[in-house]
Amino acid sequence: MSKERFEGSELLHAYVDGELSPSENARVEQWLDTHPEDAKRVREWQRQNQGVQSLYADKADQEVPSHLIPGGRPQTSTTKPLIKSSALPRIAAAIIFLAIGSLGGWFGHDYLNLRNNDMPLRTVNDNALTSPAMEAHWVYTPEVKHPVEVTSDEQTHLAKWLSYRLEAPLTIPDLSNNGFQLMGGRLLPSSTGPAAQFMYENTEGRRVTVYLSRSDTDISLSSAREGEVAFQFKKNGSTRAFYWYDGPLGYAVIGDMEHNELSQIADNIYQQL
Amino acid sequence: MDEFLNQLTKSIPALRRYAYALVRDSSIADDLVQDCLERGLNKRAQWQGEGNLKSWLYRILSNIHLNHYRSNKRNPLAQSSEIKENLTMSHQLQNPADQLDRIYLTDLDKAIAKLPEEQRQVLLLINLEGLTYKEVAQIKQIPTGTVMSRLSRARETLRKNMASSATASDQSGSTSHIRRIK
Repeated sequence: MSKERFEGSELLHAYVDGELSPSENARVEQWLDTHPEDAKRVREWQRQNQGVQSLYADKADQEVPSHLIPGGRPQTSTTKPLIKSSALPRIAAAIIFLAIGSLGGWFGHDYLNLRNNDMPLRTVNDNALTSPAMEAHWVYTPEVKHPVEVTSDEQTHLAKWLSYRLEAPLTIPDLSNNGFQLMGGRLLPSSTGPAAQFMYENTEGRRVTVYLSRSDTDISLSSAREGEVAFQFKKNGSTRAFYWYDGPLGYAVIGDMEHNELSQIADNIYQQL
Repeated sequence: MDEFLNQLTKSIPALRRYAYALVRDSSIADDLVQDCLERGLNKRAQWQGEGNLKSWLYRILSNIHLNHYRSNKRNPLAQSSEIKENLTMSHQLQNPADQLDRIYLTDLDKAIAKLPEEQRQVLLLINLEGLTYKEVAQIKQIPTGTVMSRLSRARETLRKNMASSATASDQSGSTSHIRRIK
């Protein structure tokens, strides 16, 4: 080759990326031996290359979701032909959320008045936990195709992901003693930041959800001071909720079932967390 | 399965890797790959069997990314959650060299996310996907010289943005081999 393919610092990049012929390689290595500044740059670029590999390379080793494979079966988590497949359900959910949010607000109105006298601050904050927890329960438990965002197949990932987003270590409770199996979970928005919902189903197809969000600082401080965790109860129509605060998180267990049965589930969860 | 579908299917893992590194969110990355594959299937007639199907798909994916998935549309809070999660969860705090690695990788991930999209694409196609300058020039339909200048600017930006952990890593890079022998 008569014409130089690379000039100046291009030669150094090409060296790092293995674009050079053996003789060009040797020339660059000679150069680097006597030019420590360039050698340092080259080392840094090589380290960047390795870093990029460490950060992202293993993504190609993961199993390809079947909905991505042409001719493969569409999976529950994604509808097949839409370009914005993930956006539509979210928008629908947002609209339902708004509708239910106003309903829940109305129900909450009574509740607020009831409790207002003795513990105003506490009541407002409790509502901040149970209202979104119930709304999320109503929105997602009727879902046939998309009840959860991440299924129980990826339970480890689910726990890690939601722990990271809520900035608190989460354990996904095992409710098999109560006859409920984990379906999966999802990330939700809330007034205190990211919240998580886990969904369970029994053999009859009844569903229970567990909702976690970061509690307001006031609450977590006061409960830490008291050094105790108290279950509280709330009912809205046929939907019941037990909820409590523990450390940085508020927990709510929601189900359309009798007080006793839900109480046992709440106990079981509390033991595990 | 015909040859086109066969090759297309074989390309999916690499496309997912590239997409993930571009947007750094698994579900968004898979949406991007899905859009790319759909477009590839629809435009199948335009691919006349010449050249590498995978390169053609890289090109489609890069274009969709530029047109529809620019990261500045995303919530900055969501960025890099998975990387951080992987780094914090899967690596126990072992020895100081590993901790330096973790800091370095976290910083690198952030710095890559801040690169202009065009530079990030070129950097990832070369560093992550292992393509040659010439292949990237064909994928991006730009001259090789432009590939190199984008790569060079990307690397310098990364180096500057990571000055703090880079100096630390420079030390560990040259001495860690020795230190780790115990």
